Amino acid sequence: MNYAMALDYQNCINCKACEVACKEENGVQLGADKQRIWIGVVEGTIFGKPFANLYPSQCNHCIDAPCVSVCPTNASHFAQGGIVKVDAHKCILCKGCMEACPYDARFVDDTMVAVDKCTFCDHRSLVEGGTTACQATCPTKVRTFGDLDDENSDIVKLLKTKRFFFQKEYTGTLPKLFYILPNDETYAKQSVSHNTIIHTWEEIKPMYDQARNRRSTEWRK
Amino acid sequence: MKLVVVDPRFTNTAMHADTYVPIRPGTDLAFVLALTYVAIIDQVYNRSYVAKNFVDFDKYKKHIIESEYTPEWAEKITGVPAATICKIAHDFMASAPQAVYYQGRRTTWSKNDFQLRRAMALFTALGGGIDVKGGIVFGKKLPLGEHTTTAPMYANAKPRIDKNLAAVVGATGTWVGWRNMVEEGKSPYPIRGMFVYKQNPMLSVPNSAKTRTMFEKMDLVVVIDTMPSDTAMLADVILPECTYLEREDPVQSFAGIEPSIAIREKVIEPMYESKPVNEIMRGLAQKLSKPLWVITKKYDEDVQEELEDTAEDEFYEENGFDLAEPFMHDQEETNKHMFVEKYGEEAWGVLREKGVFYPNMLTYFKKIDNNTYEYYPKDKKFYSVLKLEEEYDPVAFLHDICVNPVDVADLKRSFNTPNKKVECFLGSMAAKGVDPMPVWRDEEYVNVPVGKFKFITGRHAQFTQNATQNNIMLLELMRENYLWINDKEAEALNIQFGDTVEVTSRVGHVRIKAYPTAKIVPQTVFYIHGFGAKSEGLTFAHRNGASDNEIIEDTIEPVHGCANMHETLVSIRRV
Repeated sequence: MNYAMALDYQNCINCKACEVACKEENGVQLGADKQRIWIGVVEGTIFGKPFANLYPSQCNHCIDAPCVSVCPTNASHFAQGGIVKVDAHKCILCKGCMEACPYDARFVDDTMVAVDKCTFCDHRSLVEGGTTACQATCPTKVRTFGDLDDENSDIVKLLKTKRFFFQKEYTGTLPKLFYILPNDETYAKQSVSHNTIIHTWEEIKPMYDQARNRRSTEWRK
Repeated sequence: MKLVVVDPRFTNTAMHADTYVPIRPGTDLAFVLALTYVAIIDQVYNRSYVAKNFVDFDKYKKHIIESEYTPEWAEKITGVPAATICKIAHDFMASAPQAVYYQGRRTTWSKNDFQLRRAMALFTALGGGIDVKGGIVFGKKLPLGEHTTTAPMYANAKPRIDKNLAAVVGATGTWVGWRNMVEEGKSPYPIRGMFVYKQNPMLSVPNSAKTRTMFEKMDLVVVIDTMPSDTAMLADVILPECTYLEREDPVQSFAGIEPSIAIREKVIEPMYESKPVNEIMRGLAQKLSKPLWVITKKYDEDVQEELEDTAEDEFYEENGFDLAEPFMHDQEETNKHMFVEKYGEEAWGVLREKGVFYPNMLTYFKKIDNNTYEYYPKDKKFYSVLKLEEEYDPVAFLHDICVNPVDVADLKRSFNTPNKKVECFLGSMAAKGVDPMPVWRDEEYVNVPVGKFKFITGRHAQFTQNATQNNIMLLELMRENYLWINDKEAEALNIQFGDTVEVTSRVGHVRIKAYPTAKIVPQTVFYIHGFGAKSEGLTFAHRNGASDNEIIEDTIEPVHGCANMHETLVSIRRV
């Protein structure tokens, strides 16, 4: 099992229902800088005309997660299916993981006195037919959570039919948030940079499988 | 699908548009009339549909052409290039009947609003997009049983005092018009008391200062609410209602292409001294009925006459003078009564278990995956509900791709209007001094002088009007509202992001932080509705940003009497 999330980000309407659902589901500490998931907004003007792109985001649960490598106490670890988690009682708040994370996906939970982050809602998403709170609540069906090892999972079925890219792929952490490239050419051009590498499932699967086999020995049961 | 968004602001919706059309506020009617002009002059509208389903189209066509509502004319008013208008009109008609000019929500922007909405609907109708999939659909509503009660008739009851303030004031009245009559002492009889239930007029109605004066003039103001809102703070008596989790709400039927009936049940018992409104009304009515009856008997001549032949107790009970009678049943009992009458006991069990019911739900509903649910099969949805003159099989239409949707739209329909057709010319309106066809009037348009801005307001995805203003989970997403101001104009005024500015209109002033942005057209400023509460009882919402209605002027639309929300001129000053 190798859990991941695909994001049809073109459908995001910035309603932030996912942020609220996440906070309610997981009892995340309140506060604007305490976010397990968020909507990234990039906006500006092109020749005086406004534009805005939305990139719903959260922890990428990278296969080569630098936050896990850097943790001196093994508080940051891979749980089953490669989900990156934090043992709150082992965390000494050195915040090395927060520095190491390319996505700024971690924050200090002052009530737990530990670093907190997205868990892919593993308490509810791993049961039969279950999914994460963010996927369940999304009115425009942006997210698809699932198992990359299962050929019949919703996510693999989706990835086989689409092209996709990763955020900050150049950091080499093998992230697992798959951003689905819009079918609409104009929208695709407007929301993807010139340097972004576009992938297909056939092409990327061997690399992800290989990395998974290499790191999965560290995955806790 | 193609999406065109016409808005002075580059909104979250505009972000998804194929074409975003920035427009000067208050000029949408000119834009729609020009679209209509192009469709008619270039003959791209659905002529056979119009021939079968329109009445007085010749008059409308003549009016549009003779008034010279050309794209070039509209460009000067709206700021939208003529070429864009032509292209949109052609694209729209090419996609029709699966093309709709969406009517919008929380409308009534300016004085021409009735005519604007009419022109929009007529433009959609020119493409045949009414009562067909992809056009304006009416949908179906599942019926509920009746729950009737008798209301007392008083001999000297007066009609609505605000019924003459606009051409067609409906049963819900014109709130701003009514409020102004009371506040200005112009009501035909003194209005000394008021009950407010689930509403917060201090925040929700233009010109808060007037609303405050009106409440202050009254001898008794009773507010029933779940929150200590700004209005509750002005009440003489607050009757705390329990929240939706502590009460059963009336069973609701939701109309649409996939109609359903839904129910909201109680999760916990009401806390503290709060009660559901049904119980509040019952308690009040039980105390009031007898004393009111004594007064009625003393002054009401009709009642006195009736009592000559009828026994008092019998008359009192049978004619609704026992005001508590409608509230004697618990909501759950009433819901069951209304539902079971139509759908039976078994369906009642389904409704209570699932929270939702519609006929065949258990066979229709399918979960395909975690993102895909099917509530109705495609051929069972209610896209077309009007009676058709010719036979047509909707199932065949949906499955047979050889059927041209234009042909289906062409079928003659029986609309719910006096002529059973799309009405271009409203003679009944002309009799009331209202333009029978949409007309652009320069004199009605509020021009923006140099140095001033037009203030517009709006809602957004995270808050429900102002009712959720104290919800901490939602405040996480937006702590306060900001004033959108065009970035170039802000630069000229030396206003930067986060600067506090004072916004002043003829009726009030507020202080709010600024958000200079290219996402709004010049000479226009905007902030979101639902913020700026002054009630200290709202622990989290207290004084977050500014309330729009503090500065919006209280003018009303002359046809239906709703408040014009986008006609206020303001000046901006950095403080």
